[in-house]
Amino acid sequence: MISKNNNLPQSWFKFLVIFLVTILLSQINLPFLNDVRLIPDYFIALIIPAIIFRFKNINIFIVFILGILVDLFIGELIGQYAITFLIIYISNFVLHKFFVFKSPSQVIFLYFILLEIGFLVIGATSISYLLQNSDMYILFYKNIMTIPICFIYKLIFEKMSNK
Amino acid sequence: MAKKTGTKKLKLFNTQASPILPFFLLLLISISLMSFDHRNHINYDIKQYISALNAPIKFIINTPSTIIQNLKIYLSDQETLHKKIQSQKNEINLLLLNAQKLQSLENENENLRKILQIKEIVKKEVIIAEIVLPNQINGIPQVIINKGAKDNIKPGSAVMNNQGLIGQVTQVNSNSSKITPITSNQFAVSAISNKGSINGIISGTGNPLLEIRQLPAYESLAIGDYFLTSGLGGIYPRGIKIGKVTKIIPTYNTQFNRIIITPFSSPLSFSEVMLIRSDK
Repeated sequence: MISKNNNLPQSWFKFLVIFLVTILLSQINLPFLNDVRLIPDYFIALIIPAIIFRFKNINIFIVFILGILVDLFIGELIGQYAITFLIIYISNFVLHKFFVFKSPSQVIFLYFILLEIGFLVIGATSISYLLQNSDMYILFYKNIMTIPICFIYKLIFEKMSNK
Repeated sequence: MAKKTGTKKLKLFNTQASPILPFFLLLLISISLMSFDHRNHINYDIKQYISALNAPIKFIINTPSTIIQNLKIYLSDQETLHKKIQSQKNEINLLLLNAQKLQSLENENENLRKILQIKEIVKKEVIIAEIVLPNQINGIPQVIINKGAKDNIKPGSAVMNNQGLIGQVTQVNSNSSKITPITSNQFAVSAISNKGSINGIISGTGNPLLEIRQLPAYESLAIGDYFLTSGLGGIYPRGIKIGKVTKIIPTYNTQFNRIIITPFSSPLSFSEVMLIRSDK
């Protein structure tokens, strides 16, 4: 017998809460961090686990809309995060076509690859960072700061998918 | 013993639609949106409309600092407050004295301009505003003030404080405005040296320092000299302090030097600013 899934709106509501909290976090300073440019990129950290877990069968159109929403709230240019999320999505798709990511170490490697792809696209499309200046170092440190946040989101999505 | 297998069935043929075609379509839309926004700044207009949605977030971010400020006032003792009031009274008296001198100088200047038939200086209106959080959005430094379109703030107004130039208003919402700081790589201002002999365009670098990219090497500029706004363009009044020369770097082209300037004011070092609005 086919049972009706009543959890769908509830899980989207949870995702909306996470999204709003992420918007809030992206505007809060981290304690003991003088250079605000080293704040982690919370949205890249959020979208990677969502794509990898295929949260509620998230498709390319939803990823695009989320990207546009991020651009409207915190982005520099409309389309910047949309393009980043799209490239992360398609990279995940292509990587899964050619490789198998079964063991935890392989999955962690996949996270790293997608993070780097995300940062490359953000760095290339940003109007605030100049790639010929020392801003490349800032992107590097920002990248390091984002890794733990990405794994925190991974844990949240794991818990949500287990329920 | 037989190993227990999962309930997941092995799929030989993937029946899901390939996302490649939608990807290229959406990629094209994103690139078009980015280039259109870069040229026409539609982002600013849209953000003005959705600023109401962002207001609760801004309120939450600013709440802790407001509570701390109120607590400090509540917990400060009477003696400290008396001392503070007395020092502020002294400061006001000094400023009033200076204002009187300034008034007489202004009258003298006006008379001289009339005699020499020089065009009258445009009158500027000063609005005082307070810097509010967030001071960064997704790691990109921002300066946001608590005055907006309701307080008659207009894009393009110059922003300064008692230390020097801070930036320019680039985005105005109903109750708040965004300032592009002088350190932003999208900022440039026409400047003149304190000796009055050297003119140049000072631009932000995205770092805490400013620069003049190419200044003729024959110009007699020394470390410690400082730059002021030249008043060209009519946005910034003449004579606002910008920054001090801290480095003179020779470039590959021996005819030019690169000048590194440290700004006098930093958005992190103050909470109140003055907006200068031209009458024109």
